[in-house]
Amino acid sequence: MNSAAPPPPDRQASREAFERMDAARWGQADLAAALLALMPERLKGAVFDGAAPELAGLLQDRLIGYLPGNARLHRMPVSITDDRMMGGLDLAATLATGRPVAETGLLVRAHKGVLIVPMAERLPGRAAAQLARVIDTGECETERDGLSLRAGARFVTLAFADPDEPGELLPSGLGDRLAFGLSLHGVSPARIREETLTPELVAAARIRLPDVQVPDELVEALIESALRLGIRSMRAPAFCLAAARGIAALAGRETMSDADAALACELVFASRAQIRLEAAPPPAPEPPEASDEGNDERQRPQPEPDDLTELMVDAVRVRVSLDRDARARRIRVRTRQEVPTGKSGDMVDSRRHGSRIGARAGDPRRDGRLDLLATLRTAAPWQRIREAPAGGAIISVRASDFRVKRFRHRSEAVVIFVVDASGSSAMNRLAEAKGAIELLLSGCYARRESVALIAFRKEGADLLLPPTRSLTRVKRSLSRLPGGGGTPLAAGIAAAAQLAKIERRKRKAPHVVFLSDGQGNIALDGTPGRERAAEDARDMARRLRALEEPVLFFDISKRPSPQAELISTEMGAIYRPLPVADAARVSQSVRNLLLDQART
Amino acid sequence: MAIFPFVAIVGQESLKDALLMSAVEPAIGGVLALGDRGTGKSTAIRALAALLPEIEVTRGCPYHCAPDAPAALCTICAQKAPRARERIGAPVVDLPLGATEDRVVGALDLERALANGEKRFEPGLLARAHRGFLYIDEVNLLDDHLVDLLLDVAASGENVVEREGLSVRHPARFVLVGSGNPEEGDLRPQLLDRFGLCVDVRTSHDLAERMEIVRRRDAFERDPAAFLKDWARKTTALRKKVVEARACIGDVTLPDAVLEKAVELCMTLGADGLRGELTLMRAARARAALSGEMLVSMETLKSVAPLALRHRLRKDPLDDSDAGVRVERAVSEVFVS
Repeated sequence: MNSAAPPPPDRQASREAFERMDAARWGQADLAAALLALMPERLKGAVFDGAAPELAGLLQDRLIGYLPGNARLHRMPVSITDDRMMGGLDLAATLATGRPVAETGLLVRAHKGVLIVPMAERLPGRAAAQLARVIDTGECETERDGLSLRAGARFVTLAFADPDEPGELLPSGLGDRLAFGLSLHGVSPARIREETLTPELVAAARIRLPDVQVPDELVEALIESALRLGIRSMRAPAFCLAAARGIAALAGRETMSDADAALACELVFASRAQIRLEAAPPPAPEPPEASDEGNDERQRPQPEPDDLTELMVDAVRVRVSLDRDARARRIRVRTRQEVPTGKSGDMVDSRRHGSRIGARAGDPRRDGRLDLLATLRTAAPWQRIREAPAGGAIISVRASDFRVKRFRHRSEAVVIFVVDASGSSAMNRLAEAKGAIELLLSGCYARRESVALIAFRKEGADLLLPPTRSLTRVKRSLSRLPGGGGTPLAAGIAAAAQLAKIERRKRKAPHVVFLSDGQGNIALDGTPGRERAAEDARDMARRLRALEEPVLFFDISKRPSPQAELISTEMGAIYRPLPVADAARVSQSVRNLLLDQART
Repeated sequence: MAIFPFVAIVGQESLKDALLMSAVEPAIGGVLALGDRGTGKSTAIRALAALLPEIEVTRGCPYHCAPDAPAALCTICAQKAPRARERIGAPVVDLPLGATEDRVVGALDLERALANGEKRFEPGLLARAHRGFLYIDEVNLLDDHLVDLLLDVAASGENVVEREGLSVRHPARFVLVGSGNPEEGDLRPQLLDRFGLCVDVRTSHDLAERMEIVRRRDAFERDPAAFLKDWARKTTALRKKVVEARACIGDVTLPDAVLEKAVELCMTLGADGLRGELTLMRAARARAALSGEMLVSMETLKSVAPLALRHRLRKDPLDDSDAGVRVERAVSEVFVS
């Protein structure tokens, strides 16, 4: 991965440029692994977006190679239960001995090793929060099933994510706890050439690390770049400083250089930066490279990086824009081969799923899972009075002692608002939808529902608010709503159907709420024309209906319109005329819909 | 792992104040810290454990009863007269997210029950937190029924257990501290106003302050022992301040004029019920005691108002402004006259 001159503008050369970029991307992932091995307790881990499975395997091997001793890999499936993850009661041993025996959780077993989390974007919020806390404290504490366990749990976390929708890769602030976030979209394992980093180099760097000098202006520059990139968390600059020190040590430098700091910024800040794509400069033909000291021949059309902060912010911007391009290419390919999904296989059985909230008397054959511990507790006080059990058993348990686990019903509702944001009254309707959303969320039972908002205008539909339960987030993202332009109703319906499908796959119960007059004038492909637009809208409405999710249609025209009623019927919706803006009525109707659905 | 010292935390003054006030006056009713990720909420709360003065306890008492004043409910201390005493660090119990109810409230000691048929109560986390703090990180992710239960016990100061043929009551007076990120889901309003103080934790946008945060964090992680030593003197000084404030808070007086303003403020803001006024008074007293003042001044009252009231405001769909801003607006209104 040595640097070369910028490629001439012909096709062959541009392919080579891409290959070099891929190689550089892989080089950075490899560098991240080396840095993690160098400072596992400070840098904690990394999340990789869109890594091919072979690439993930390769990366794990590299990390293990760099780590001292015989570190071991531990995989954490996203479906892991609390007790397997954090430790709990060992059922077999408990039954065999007649006294409670603890079982070590995965996180404790991973101590001093590497924790691999595949498909991390699907990790449930609770599991992610528990993992985040163990990463923070370096200890795994469990208080459950009558056990009180505490053990050291310090490991390197490698999370691999590949979400369908853009947004945060990891739930519940887990991403903030891991130093690096890198995209490996489109990087092919076949193109990886020989490596520049070796375990010996890492071992040598480990010795040099404490003596690396850090110039003050670099600390200042990297903190300022974090601010300029809109990164609020204080963990990020701390990670970045540590990483820059590691990069200098790996390169054999006694004093951290500008390039070390800029590279660290790229590795740590790119996944966290809050910048708009328009603000990013065009991709540079050659991204900065690992352990390639002092080459400042980066040819950028952007302002001369005489300012250190400028240099760092720039490096991150280039990385973000390259990542988005690579991601977009990949996602486009995937949506074309999308598979149809039905509702089969996602019936939620509240007897066996969800989070456990306690135990009650019952028959395990009929009522769900046996709660062994509660059963033993119930039986225990009677042991003196009861006859000794036959067959050498230690405890006498009778049917009346049986306790079964109670679970919280988890099928959580997601209300998807689809709002017509076209024309002059756009702001009015959006304000109404916003009011209804806020009313819904601030209601007493708000915690069980999340809300999403899709607005359609101009040529297409935008997901303005991905599903969320947070009023704070709603307020933040709805404060600057766009409006105006044509009415791409079909695109709005299509987007709603797509989101409903995604949510159903996550075992949520989507509810779709339209605020529209049912009169589109933009076809699905973005071209104007009433006839095509109406046809497309009907097609999409039928597609939505096929999903069999509850739909509510508010006709917002001044007088109830036949078109609105027609499209509403096509999508199998409940039709409600709403000639006057009324957020309270919208939220009340939605609430009634939710209650109805919950009852059936 | 070493714990980052409380006194070395840069910024986050309201959070630190709220924690210290609660350490001086537990009756304030707990602290809720809401804010962005990576703002050091957990760091501050975990650092508090190392800062607080040790307490004297009866050896072997699972509830950490004070030897000279055992809790009336404590059956252990009521049994035999002479018991050894010992000093322990102030309890700060970190509630794990996946904690089950039996470990929180306590349950039948299964091992003893099975081995010798003895019906014995095994105290849970509530017992361990007595006379200290109970910390719930990501309080918005905890099951509602557990949060309810914790708030009930925190308010009443005793834990009543009726399960598995056991009937136990034991003292459980602790300061409940919760933290969370509102972007991951809001707390139910009913739970919100049961916390005494509420802190809005924000990241600083001041470059110098951010640099100091990163520098100290870096120094600490590179050599924790040396870092702790550097800050030992300041830690001792602050600890002394807490001890002194605890000793004198009983003598701090609240002039009628100040009390009047406190009531007026709550009325202006529509903070329903007495809880707002009581918290406001207690917080003002604790703040005065911490600064060594024996008289609560108007300034002190003003300074604690946002902490005590920001989460008790009536919901106003027309007013989008931040709760803290609304409190401050009301403060300037009330104090003008």
